[in-house]
Amino acid sequence: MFLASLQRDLRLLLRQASEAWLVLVFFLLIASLFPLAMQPEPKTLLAIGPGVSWVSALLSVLLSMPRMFAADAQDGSLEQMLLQSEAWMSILLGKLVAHWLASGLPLSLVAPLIGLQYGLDLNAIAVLLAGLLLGTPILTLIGAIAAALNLSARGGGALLALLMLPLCIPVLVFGAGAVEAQAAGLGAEAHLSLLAAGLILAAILAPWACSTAIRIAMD
Amino acid sequence: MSAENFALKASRIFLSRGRRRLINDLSFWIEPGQWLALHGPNGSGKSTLLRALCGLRSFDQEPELSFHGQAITSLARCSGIRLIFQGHAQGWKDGLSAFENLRWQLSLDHYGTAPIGDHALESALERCGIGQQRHLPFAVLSAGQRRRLAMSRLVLSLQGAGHQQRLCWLLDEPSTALDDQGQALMGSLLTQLLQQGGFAIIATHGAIPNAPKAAVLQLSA
Amino acid sequence: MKAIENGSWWSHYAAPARFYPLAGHLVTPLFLMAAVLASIGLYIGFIVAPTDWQQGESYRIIFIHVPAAWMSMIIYLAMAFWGVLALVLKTRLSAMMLQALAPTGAWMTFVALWTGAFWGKPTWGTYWVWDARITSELILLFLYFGVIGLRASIDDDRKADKACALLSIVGAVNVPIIYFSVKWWNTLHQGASVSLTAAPKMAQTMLTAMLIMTAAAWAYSIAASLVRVRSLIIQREPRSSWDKSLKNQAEASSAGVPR
Repeated sequence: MFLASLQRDLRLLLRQASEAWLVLVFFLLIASLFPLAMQPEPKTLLAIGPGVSWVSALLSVLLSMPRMFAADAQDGSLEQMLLQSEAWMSILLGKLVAHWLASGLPLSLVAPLIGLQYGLDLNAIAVLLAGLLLGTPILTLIGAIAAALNLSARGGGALLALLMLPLCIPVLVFGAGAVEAQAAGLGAEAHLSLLAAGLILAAILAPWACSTAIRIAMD
Repeated sequence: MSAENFALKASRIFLSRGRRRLINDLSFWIEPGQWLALHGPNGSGKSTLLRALCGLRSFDQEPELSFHGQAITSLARCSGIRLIFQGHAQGWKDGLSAFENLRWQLSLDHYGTAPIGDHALESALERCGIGQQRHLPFAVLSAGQRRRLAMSRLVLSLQGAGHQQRLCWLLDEPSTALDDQGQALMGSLLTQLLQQGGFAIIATHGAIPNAPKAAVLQLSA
Repeated sequence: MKAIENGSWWSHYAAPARFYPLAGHLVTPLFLMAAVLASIGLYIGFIVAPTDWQQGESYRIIFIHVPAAWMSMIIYLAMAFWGVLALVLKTRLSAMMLQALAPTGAWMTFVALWTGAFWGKPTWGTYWVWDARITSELILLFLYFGVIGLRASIDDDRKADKACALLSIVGAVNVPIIYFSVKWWNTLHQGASVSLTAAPKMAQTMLTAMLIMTAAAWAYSIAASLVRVRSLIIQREPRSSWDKSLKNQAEASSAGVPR
C-alpha cells in the first residue's frame, strides 16, 4: 500500500503541477527579497546567505503543507484511508514521502542557485545542499503533524505557521549552522550528523503523532 | 433470542455533536438476512451514528456492540467484517479518472485479499452505466454518475467477498441523485448482499425500490 | 463505578463535580501563601541581600526573572503531563487542567522575557539579548501561543481537548531539542553576549530569596490554574454537578453569616 499511496499522491500532484511549481517559485522569490531590502554588499550577502536560504526553504515548505491533508479530508478520501486500519500507516508514509518528493526535494536541488546569488563558494553550496536534503524531510514530518492538527481547527494558515515554525527551529539552527561552520573552517560533520539523527528521530515519532492528530480531526 | 442469532446487536449508544446530545441510550439489532433503514429528519444524527459505528468517531461512552455474539468495539476493527462505508463525502478525487478512483478504492477495500482484475472493474462500471466515462477526468462527471461509481464499488465488493468475513455496508443516503434505473439497481444489489449473508445499515430519506424488507430505525430531531 | 482501592482518592476527585469544591477550598490559602512568600522573598531580595560588586543594584531583577523562567518550563511539563493523562485515560479533568495551565504558563514566560529585558538594559545597554536562555524563553512563548491558539480555533470541546493534549506532548518532546539547539547556536556565536545564567556567585541570602520567590511562584501558579479550572468546570460540565456546591455557597452567604 505504501507504493500505491505514493503513486496516487504523485499522480494527483502531476496533474496539478502548478502547486508544486508555485512553491519553488515562492522559494526563489523570498530569497530574492532580502538583497532588495538591504545593501547588496558581497560580504553581507555571504554572511546572510545560508540563513536566508534556510528561512526561505522553511517558509516554502510551510506554504506547501496545507495541501497534504486538507483536500483529502474534505472530499472524504482521508476517512476511507483511516478505515483501512491495517494498511493505514503505510498509506500515511506514502503520503509523507510523496509530499517531500514534490516539495523538499525540488527545493534542495534549486537551493544552489540561491547559493550562487549570495556568492557562496562551491563547498558551502555542497554543505547547503546536503543540509537541505537531510533537513527538508524533517520539515515535512513536523509540518505534517501541524497540518493534521490544523485539520481540526477552523481558519487559515496562520495557525499552521504558529504550530509548525517553533518546532522547526532546531533544523534551521543546525542546517544554517552547518554552512557557517564549513565557511569558518570548522567542518560541517557535527551539524550534518545532528540533522541525520534528527531525521531518524522524526521518522520514528512523527508518523505516530500525525496519525493520532488525523484521528482526532476525523472524530 | 440469544445474541449469536443477531447479525449485529447494539445497546447503550450515546452520541453527542458538540454540546448537543443527539442520541440517548439507543438500542437496536439486525437479524440475519435483514438490513436496517435509518430514517430521521436532517440533523437527527444519522450520519453521526454511521460514522460512530464505523469507528471514525467515538461514542460518548463505550456502547455494547456484538457481531454474531462476539463483542466488538467498532465495525472497522472487527476482523470478521469487511466494511464498506460511504459517507456524504464519498471519497473520490477530482484529479483522478473514474477508473483510477475505483482502482484506488478497491485497493483499500480488498486489502489483504486477491486484487481484482481490470476486466472485473470494467464490467462493474458497465453494469452501473458509466463504462463510457471511466477514463474521463472525474470532475466532469455529474452527481448521478458519481453515485453510479459508488455503486460499482458495491458491486465489486459483492464479488470479492472472502469466506471468513461477512460483508457489511454502511451507506449514508446512497440514493441521492440517482435516477429510477439507478435506484432499482441499488435495490437488487442490496438483495444480493443479504443473500450472501452480509448486512447493511443505510441512512435514507425515502424507501429503496426493489429492495427486500427492512427493519426501520427512526431517529427523532 | 467502583473506585480502585489504591487510587481511590485520585479517582474520587477525578470527577470534575467533586474536584470543583476541593479546588475552591485550596484557592484562597494558596493565594495567601503566594502573597506572603512573595513579600518575604522580595524583601530579602530587594533590601536585605547585598549589592552585587559586579552588577550593582540592577541584578535584583533576577529574583523575579529566574523563578518566572523556571515556572514557565515547569508549567509546560505539567501541561504535557496532563496531556498524556487526557489522551491515555481520557479524563475530562486532565484536559481542563491543561487548558487552565496554558495562560498561566504563557504569563510566566512573558514575565521572564520582560524582566530579562529590564536586566539587559542597565547591564549591557540593550533590551534584547540573543542568548540561549532568553531565546529559548521566546520560543517557549510561541509554543504556549500555539496551544492557546489551537484551543481557540477548535469549536468542539472534546476535539480541542485531544488536539491540545497531543500538541503539548509534541511540544514537550521538542523543548529539550530546541533548548539544546539554541545553546549550540549560542556557543558558536560567542562574541554576541554574556549569558544571563552566568549569574554572580550567589551569596546565601540571594539563594534564600530565590528559593522563596520560586515557592511563591509555584503557589501563585497553582492557585491561578485552579481558579481557571473551576470556571472551566462551570462552563463545560452539566449544571447538576456543580450547582449544588454553588447553591450551598449562596445559601451560606445569604443566611447572613458575618464575615
